[in-house]
Amino acid sequence: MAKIGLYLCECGPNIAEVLDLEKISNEIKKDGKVAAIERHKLLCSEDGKKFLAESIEKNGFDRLVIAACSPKQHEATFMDVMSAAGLNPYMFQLVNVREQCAWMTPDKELATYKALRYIRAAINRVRYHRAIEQKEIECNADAIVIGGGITGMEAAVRAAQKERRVYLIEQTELGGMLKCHRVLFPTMELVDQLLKAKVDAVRGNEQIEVFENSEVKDVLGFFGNFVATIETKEKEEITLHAGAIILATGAEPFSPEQLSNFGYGTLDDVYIASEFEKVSADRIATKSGDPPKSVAIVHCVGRKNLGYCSEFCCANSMKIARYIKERLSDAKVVQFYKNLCLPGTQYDKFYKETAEKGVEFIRFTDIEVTREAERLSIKYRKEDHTENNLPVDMVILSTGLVPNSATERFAKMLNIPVDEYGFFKEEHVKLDPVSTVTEGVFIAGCAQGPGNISDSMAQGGAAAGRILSSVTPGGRLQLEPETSQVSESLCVGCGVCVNVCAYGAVTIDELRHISVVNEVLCRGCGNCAAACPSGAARHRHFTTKQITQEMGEILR
Amino acid sequence: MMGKVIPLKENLNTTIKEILELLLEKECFDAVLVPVRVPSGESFAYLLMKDRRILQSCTPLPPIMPVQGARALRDLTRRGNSNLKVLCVMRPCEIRASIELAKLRQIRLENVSFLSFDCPGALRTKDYINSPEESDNQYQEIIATWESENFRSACNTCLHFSYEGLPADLHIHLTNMKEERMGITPLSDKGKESLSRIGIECNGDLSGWQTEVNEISRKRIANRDKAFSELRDKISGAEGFHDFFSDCINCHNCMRVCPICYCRQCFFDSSGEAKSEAEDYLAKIGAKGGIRFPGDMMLFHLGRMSHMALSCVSCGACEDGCPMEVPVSRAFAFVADEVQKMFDYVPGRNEEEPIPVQTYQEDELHQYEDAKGTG
Repeated sequence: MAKIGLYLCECGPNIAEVLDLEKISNEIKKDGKVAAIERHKLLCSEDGKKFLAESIEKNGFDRLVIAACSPKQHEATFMDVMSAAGLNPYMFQLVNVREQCAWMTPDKELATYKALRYIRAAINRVRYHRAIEQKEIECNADAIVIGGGITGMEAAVRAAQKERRVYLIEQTELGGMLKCHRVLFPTMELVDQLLKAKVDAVRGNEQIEVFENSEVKDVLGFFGNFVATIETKEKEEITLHAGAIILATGAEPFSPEQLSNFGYGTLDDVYIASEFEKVSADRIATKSGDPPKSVAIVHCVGRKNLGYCSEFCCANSMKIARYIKERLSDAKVVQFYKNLCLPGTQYDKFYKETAEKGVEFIRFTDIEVTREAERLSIKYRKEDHTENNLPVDMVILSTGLVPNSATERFAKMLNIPVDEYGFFKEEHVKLDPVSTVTEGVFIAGCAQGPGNISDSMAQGGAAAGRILSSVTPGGRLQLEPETSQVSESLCVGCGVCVNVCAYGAVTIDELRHISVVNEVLCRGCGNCAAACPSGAARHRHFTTKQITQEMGEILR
Repeated sequence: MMGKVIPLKENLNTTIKEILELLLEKECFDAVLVPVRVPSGESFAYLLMKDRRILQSCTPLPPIMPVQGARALRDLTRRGNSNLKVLCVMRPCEIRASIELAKLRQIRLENVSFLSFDCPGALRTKDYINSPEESDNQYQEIIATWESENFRSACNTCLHFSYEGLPADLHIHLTNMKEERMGITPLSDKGKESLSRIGIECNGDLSGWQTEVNEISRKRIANRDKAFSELRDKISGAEGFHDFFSDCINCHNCMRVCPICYCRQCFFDSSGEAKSEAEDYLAKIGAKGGIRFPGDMMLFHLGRMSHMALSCVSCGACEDGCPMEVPVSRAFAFVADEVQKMFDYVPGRNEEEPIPVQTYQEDELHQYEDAKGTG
């Protein structure tokens, strides 16, 4: 017979003043299912924890029910006390009688009634709790960074340490999208310097092994133990072992070929921004070889088609205007924009400086680029519905970023969801922005969505930080204890659980014709247990027995 | 629909037997899986055979379906792929159940081919056992007229009795049996090849036969609408459901004969999880004042229904196997119809089409979320 201890926490006045703890105590005593009932003013205080530890030992309880606050607040606190007192922390159920009862209603009778039902449900449930062991596995501290752009290089440099090797794999050569740029906003520094410094830092780091012109063919394994097969420049297949992976596979500029009103791909001297910087590396000139007398920079090209703002492009357009002005001070430079997106402390100033340098800003509603005789012509309509015409020698289209083909390929390979636009989806946009549903796989840079260089580098650093804090050289990996398991004798191998697992943790063992759970990948969501018709897949801490015992009382 | 019209020789079974014999002789298949009358004379069982002499004893279209063919095929192929090229002679619902089991990895379809029929329906097994001879004669008539009061209830409301959407390889048309002729058409390349190998030229246009199929479909739809609308009120709510199944004796035979129910051991038969301590049962009584034993009668049927509804092919095996004559298949066919419509899913249509429970979509079924205005 289980020896259950029930603790009623008063939480100062929070619980004691609303619930009739005396009545609860008496009713539970009458049920005869608990060995003893203890009451304390504030169980989470140092005094309370000491009282709890001593009381567990004195009474020899093997299971606890604590009626107190939300599990989010103090479940871990009480589990720690249990562990210290030699009790398995899973032999425990916390009842939230504060947020869910005391704070729900000023009606003492109703709150007490509800709390009593919840406590009874917890007592019923905890009788069927089983000890769950915290498992650990050995892990490989090395990391694989896929993508040798600025993000990937930053991540590699930050992650590479004395006892941690980093394999940096790049499809072409180091540099990524940055290779298309000449200068940086808002400082107008030359890209070459920054890029060279970063590439040197990567190449000079003995702990980083760079694979250029190499392709990741396949990744197997899981957090702590990934095995990647890559094909090198020499068409040689090699195997790399690592504990974690950073995906910094970048993005590519949206190509406005499909938009007929910009003349892109059909008219000479119409460029997208990154192309312009590339072709004007030495000298800014039109097809005819003369420097342009006037240049139009059109913002938000394809913005409607994409459905999102790429953030960096307004500042980038101004950077290009200044780049032209610095080299061709007589040239007329006009920015055609719809909305300017210039967040942050630096960019208001940047905009003003740009305007002061004689760059014009025209707000348009509709625009069309055509060629009339020798010059290009911008036909545009303004907000006041007036239609205007501006002859120019060169048009630069400022487009946003779209996912590149690597995103889809790696999303499939590593079981990572993509968002509605095709970029990698993070675990949580605010709370966990560089993690993914696949444990041990992190994302950074424009593969996750358009951004500027500072953001991308910060993300690369953050992803490296996640590796530093989770896989330590010679360390062991603590696994999620509340996982699912599959009963070999009940499983009939139908595979329904395999497809509903969002973490790729369930697979079919073809030899035994049953499904198996990889405990390293399992996060204990319980999808498989819910989908299994046989009751073969079960969640360790949410067994049918535990749930029916608990819900049976609540729904009675 | 190109095929061949074949005049009957003696009767339907002998005509089909001859085709099966040829298919074996010309090595289109290594073996056939086909129903054979058991020695008692009162029932039929599936036999796997390659000997053409034994083939003489088979009954390709028996009046009853005591064992659902998908169960037979499951036993045959469960251990892995078969190198044996097997032709399964089955009713459409048996083939469709086989496809569902293949999706659930309980049947391997490599090297398996199907020969199907226009199925008029199956007689109730209990009636047949009482008077096999009389029933046999009756069934000859049924094949000609497609009318009977002694069908399983599921057969009266069946809309998938012909070849449309059926992933079989060969199909035998039986809607013109009054004129002592049947039709055969290939439904796959494999079927086409085997017919040409046995010298059956598919140069006849059987499109006209569809008229009869449509006529029967219309009657079946009317039967179905009537049956479902009567059932809807009867079975609604916890009380209606309970009363509907109240004759149940918890023998779980419906589960055992169901072609889809594929668990190694039913959750309700495995000890532990589903059972409570005696004192907990007493606590469960609550306002009801009493609790029924053996327990979990409702949960069993609800559980089975939730597991089966998407794949249920409405073959009627559950009802046929019920010793208490609980109209199980009526409830299952009705719920299956609703659930399958919800996902635009037809069980057994195509092996590649996943069962909706096997797929996970974050964004779906929002129309049901707000059923109670709670979101």
